[in-house]
Amino acid sequence: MAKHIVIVEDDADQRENYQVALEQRGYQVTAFASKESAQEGLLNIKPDVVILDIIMQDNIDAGFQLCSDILKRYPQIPVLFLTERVEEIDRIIGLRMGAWDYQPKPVSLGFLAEKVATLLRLSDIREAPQDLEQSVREVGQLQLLEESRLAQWAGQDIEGLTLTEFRMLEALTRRPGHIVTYDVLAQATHQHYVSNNTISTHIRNIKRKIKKLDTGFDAIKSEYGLGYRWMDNQ
Amino acid sequence: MNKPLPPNKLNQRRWRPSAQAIVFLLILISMPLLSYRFLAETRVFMIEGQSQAQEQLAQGVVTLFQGREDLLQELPYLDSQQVVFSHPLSGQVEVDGFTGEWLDFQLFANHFGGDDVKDGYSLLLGEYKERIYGLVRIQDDVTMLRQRGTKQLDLSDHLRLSLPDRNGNERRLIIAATKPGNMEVWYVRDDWATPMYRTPSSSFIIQAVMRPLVDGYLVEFALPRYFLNERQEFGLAVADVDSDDGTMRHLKTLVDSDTNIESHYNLLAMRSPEANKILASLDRANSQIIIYDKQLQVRASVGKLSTDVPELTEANGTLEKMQYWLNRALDWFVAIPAYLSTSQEASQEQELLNKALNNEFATGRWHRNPGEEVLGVAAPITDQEGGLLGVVMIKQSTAQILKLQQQAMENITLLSFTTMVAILLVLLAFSWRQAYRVQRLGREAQQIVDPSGRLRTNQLQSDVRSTDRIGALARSFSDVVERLHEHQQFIATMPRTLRHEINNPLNATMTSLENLQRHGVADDQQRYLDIAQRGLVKIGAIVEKLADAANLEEALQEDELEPLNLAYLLETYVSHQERCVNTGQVDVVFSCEEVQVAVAGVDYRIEQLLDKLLDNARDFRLPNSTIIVRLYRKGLYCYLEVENQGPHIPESMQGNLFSSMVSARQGGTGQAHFGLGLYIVRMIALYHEGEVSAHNLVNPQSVMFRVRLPVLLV
Repeated sequence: MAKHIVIVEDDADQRENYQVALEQRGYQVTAFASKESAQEGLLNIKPDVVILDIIMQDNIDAGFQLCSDILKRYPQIPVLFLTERVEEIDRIIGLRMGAWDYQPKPVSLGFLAEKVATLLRLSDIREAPQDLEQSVREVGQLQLLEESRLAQWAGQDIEGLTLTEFRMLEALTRRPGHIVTYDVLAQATHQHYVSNNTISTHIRNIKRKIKKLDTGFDAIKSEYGLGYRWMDNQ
Repeated sequence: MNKPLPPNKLNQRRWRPSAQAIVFLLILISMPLLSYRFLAETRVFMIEGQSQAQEQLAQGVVTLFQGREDLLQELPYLDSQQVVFSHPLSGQVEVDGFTGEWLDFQLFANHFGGDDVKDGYSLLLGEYKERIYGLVRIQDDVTMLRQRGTKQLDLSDHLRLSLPDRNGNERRLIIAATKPGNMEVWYVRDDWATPMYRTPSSSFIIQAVMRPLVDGYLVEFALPRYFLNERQEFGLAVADVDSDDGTMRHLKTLVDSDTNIESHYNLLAMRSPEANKILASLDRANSQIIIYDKQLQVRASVGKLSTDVPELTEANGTLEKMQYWLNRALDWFVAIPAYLSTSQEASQEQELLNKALNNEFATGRWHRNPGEEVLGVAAPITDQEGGLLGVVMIKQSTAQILKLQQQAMENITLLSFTTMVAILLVLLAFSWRQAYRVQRLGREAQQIVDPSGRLRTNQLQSDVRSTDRIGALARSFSDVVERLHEHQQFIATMPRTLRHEINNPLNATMTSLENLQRHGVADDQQRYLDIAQRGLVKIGAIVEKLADAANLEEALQEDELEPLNLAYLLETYVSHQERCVNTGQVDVVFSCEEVQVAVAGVDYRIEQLLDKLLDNARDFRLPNSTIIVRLYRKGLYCYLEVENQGPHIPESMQGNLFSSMVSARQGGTGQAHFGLGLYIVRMIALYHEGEVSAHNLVNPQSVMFRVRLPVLLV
């Protein structure tokens, strides 16, 4: 049975493009154009993944409000914000509300489909973790659980790691001790255009999250003007 | 269209005092002047009024004594008796042998003892309340003092007093001196030599003091009025003894005879008691009424000329001293400038009396003491036939008026001074407050703009609620600030809004192209699809750059400053630049003599700063020239310099080179530029408590950007 994706997007063109792209990949897609229609429609639907825009019509927080409603009814449903609101504070609010990921526009439809697939896989894993054979990659004290997109430091889960940050961590640790350039890290963000500064902000957030578990964490070294390096002795 | 005023006209306007200030100043100045003028006029008016009242009083007194020959002519004395008049004294006489109290009456002294004044004596009598005073000045070439213990009293110079009592019995007294100073008063028997009692009379009852003079000696004495009989008779003789055996005795009597003095009583003609009673009802402060007979002997008098205004005395306490000196200063400052008359008292008074003796009504003024003027009126008193009986003289002091005026003047001066000081203080406080308000407004206006030239707030707080002109100015300025702030907000949010607005259609277009590609396009159409997608990515990059710059300030607040080795950061950065360019030629060189330059910073922000500076240097450098990145430390700061050879920065741009949306790049670089790079550099430098500057260099012509950052002190 095809997985059911709900898209809430007030822009008709984008909504149609998302719907077409995802349907072509075998998903059942229901699209709504407003918060109100989505609230009404979701009374009869239990989706597997919800993709939300934040600003809809004149309501600049419609997506946040809808997210709150959905997670009250279905706390386990993966919610992905797909929005033009890319400020740090918006990311923080969205993730704290329980959204699984936050994807700025413009987005590649390929990336979107991949992200949806990942969210579904994660959802399955989190619902029945015992059924999954996890492939675990260990880099020093870091463990990357490839299937569940979870990361651990010294055996402890790194809390609040987003999918983008997981991918960046994955790219960074692919060849420990070697420099990973900004360009390589940019690809991990699944965005069309990413500045070095945006990458550095992601790296800063990763460092902060690991430092909550280990204040002496110093594995990510900046290679100024070029990129970052995961120190192989960590 | 209004023609602008030339600068000199503007200056004239600026410095012209306002009409209100001039009027206010004139009122302030005129207030004490008008008060002074009013006082001066009041003084003249009061003195004139006083003079007129005095004339009327004189007329009244004349009327009272008109035809009273009994009071002024028929003196109750015997033909053989010499009359000696007593003079009213202004106060109690100190019996001390000095003549200070008698100065006013010296002209009226009676001379006795013969034609030769040198061999006689003079007598002045005065009265005050219930005592009779006498001053006897004796010419004597040899003064014989009485030897103590000598029983006979006529062996030395002495005064003989003969005082008939009310029963007609005669009392004889001798006043003799054993030494200068207090004299002895003895009751003696009829022989004028033998004392009646063993001791002298009590000096409490009859006082007498002797003082030697060059040509004789002086005796001042006092006795109670009740010692005299109703006729107020007394006899006085001076006994001159030039040898201690008493043989050369010479008596100087009140009558012109040196023999048989015992049969003569001299008469003390006191002022007429009845006339005094009449005058008593006319007694008033600061005025004196004197009735003279034809011989200008005082027959009655009442009142005295004296100022009851206490003189200033120097005080001891600090506060009292201040008050004393303040009063002295005020006295000097507001002193009555001139007297109405400069005539001498005695001559003027005599002139008035002479006129009155000639049956004329005479008035005059003269000054008596500094600050005191005397008004005098003399009027003749006549009998029924018009014959002269005497003269009434009324003297009145203007001291009270002048003193009152002086006090009023002082009060007005003090009040004016206090008022002016108070007004001055109020004006000072007002001007200080105005200056403070303007200064506060200016300060707030300066602080409202941050170092990057942006408004910190949208309105002013100072004085915007005040209703005066400064309040209006503050409100106008606040309105301007509010509008500028709105504009600034618009500019600041424009990139974000632009991104919001662009990202949606951009996303729609990009996803459409993706779907199109997924459906499949012909090979010859694929390249157009690729071009469209690249274009869209460029648009996305532009929007992202704009949004990044717009959000930079907020994003910086998320960063935490950490200790950094700037030398290592720069060295690493520059080494990676060489690797990036990969042209086989050294693109950027790094110069630093320090191994460790510690700063508090955010590494990737410094990296961002270097990105922008190097982007800028590469865009403007001469082809194939090398960019120099230099780091050195000086004092508490380190200096990061990025220098490239190339054209100078135009002077017109130097003021706003680091502002947002300012670019010197010409078109055709193939890249989109919005003049945000140096703006980002400045924002990052400011966040690190540093500053950035641009310098044009010569030999070779080059441009250097210098970032100054504070060194982290360990």
